[in-house]
Amino acid sequence: MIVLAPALALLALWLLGALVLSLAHARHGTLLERLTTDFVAGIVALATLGMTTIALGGRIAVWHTYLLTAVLAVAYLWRRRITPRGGETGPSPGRQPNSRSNATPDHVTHGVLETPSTDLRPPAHAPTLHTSRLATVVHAATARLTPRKLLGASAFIILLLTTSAGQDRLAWDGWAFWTLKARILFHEGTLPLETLVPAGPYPYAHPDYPLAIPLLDWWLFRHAGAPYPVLASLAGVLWFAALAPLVWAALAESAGARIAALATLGTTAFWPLAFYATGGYADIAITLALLGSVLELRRLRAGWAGGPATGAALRLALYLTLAALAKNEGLALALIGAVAAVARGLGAGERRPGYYVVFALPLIALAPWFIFTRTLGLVPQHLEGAELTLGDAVTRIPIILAALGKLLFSRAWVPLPFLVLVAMYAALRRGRFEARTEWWVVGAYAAVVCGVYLGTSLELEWLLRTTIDRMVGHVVPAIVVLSLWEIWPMTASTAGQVYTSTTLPDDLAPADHA
Amino acid sequence: MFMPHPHEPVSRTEANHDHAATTAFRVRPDHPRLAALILLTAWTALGILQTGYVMIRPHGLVLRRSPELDRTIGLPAAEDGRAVVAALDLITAFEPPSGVPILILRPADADVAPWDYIHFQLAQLVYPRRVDLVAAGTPPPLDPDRYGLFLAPPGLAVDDAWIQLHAGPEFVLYQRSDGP
Repeated sequence: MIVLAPALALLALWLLGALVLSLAHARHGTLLERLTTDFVAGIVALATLGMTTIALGGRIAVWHTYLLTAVLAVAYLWRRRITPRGGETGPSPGRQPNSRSNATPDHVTHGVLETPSTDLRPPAHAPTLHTSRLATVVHAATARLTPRKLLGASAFIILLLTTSAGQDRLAWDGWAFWTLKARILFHEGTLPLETLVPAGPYPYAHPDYPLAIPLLDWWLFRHAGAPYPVLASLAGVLWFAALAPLVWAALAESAGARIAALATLGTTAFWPLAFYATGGYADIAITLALLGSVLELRRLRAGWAGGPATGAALRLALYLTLAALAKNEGLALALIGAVAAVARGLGAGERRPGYYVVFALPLIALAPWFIFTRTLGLVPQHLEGAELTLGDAVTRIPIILAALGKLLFSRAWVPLPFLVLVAMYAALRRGRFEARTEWWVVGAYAAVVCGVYLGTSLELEWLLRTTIDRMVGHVVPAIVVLSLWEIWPMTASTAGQVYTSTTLPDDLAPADHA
Repeated sequence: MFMPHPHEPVSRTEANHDHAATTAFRVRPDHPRLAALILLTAWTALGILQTGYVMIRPHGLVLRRSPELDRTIGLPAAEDGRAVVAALDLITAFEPPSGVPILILRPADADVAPWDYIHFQLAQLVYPRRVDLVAAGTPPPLDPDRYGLFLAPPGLAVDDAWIQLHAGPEFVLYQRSDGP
């Protein structure tokens, strides 16, 4: 029962998310990527419903979510009944008459990166390595690392983590903050005021934080019939595993299957992320949201070039909403991502108001909880009572940089800064950044996090010691993907065009081993 | 007279043309991609090594931790954390009936912050059981008769309604003389 009921609960959540995205014409990608976005959409729906109910003074119940699912299912079936062939009622938002693009439906293709692909073989144009002796050695050494083997290794690591989390890997914040809230929700059906106010027993449990993580745990606890901590730990594996299809989707088309599979394996093998995910921390949701955001931001551009951008815009709004509902810093990410998407829309001459409206979704979903907690006088603990001067903040910069340097030159972190440097070199050599907007989003988010360190009222050394690895972890998969995009940019070649020797661009190495 | 080898192209242009016409493109070094592949492979390998190392350790694939530390990982390292663990040990050893609240008394002149932290940790560890913390000389939030156990640091005077169950270095545990 402890396994079957939560598994069915996850299935129900997936169904909810699939219905949401289907009705919005935003389901897309390989099977695993669709499962990931469905999962995210289901959690966003669950969290929005739950947080709104609690903020309005109500008690959450599983039937609320099932009722919402039933309503969406009826709407979906009704739509299918009246449009049996395509499953769409009239022109989708992506094919409005005043849209720039007028291409195929969202689920068919949205341009270069939108074509679902399950073929693990590198495409004929896949970039490979070339003539130097070192390149020959590297190529020989890595030639046997086929995409299937690499993805199989990723799956094996996920299996290991599942086995380990199956014995409850919850670490400190995961247990004392997020699972605590899930347990209170399980017993009370809400978060009573005495559990939120500073004078209550739980002032250290970040009572102002949004509840996406605890509400997923609560959902599993409710179906299992008891607040088994192991379920919260296993939920962390789910969040973590969801990174893999996104990394693959981000890189398979532009960098080829082998690089995509290698990056996927690197992400699933990156222990700092796995540790905090299985430990029940909320940071993994931000990591996933940031990765999904940069992926969909890029698809927006590809969409304008080769098809409707609506699906990508909706999925981007979805990931930004997840961020806003997972942690306080996620709200900053949601705002930054929305600004980037609006700027991208304006730059592309997007005229449909609906495109811009969807980026208000994170704020709309968070608003009831935000107003409720601010009415109670709850403020972010990290900034509470901060009275730092500019001079104080400046004196902190070397301390923060030292902590960052210490982190980035330890264990599995070491190659990452060098990968970013190589990406910068590739971009400068090419004369332009392939993913300028996406870099801006990641950089702005990192700046916000640094701003918290600069202004916090907590003891800086303690805060850095206890948080910097997971804060930097937020951006790791996104940074890896962005770096590889700079090194293997999305060119016409990756859109399937055939190059001749005379049209081969300088920054695209030919496939001599194909 | 110099004659090129039959297989050697006579000019760069001709060579390129020749090569492109017969096989694939002439390849050339692409250092960023080579560097990226090396770094990506190194990142993956280091990650696998670290994950593997963690998995074979006691907190890895097979978790081996003592049951009493199951939920107090990290706490024994700090002074206030040790107090939490001590209090938890006492509560676990003298388990009061389910749902009966626990009262913790702190010295009136003690620094409040560590005690608030102890209160928080203990409250979340034994949830859904209620834990209240009051300063000595302050009335508790609930009727004193409702508390099943009462923890106080050694040296604090306690009235006759409570009998001492256990005395430790961090806390003395009391129970109502007429039982919980």
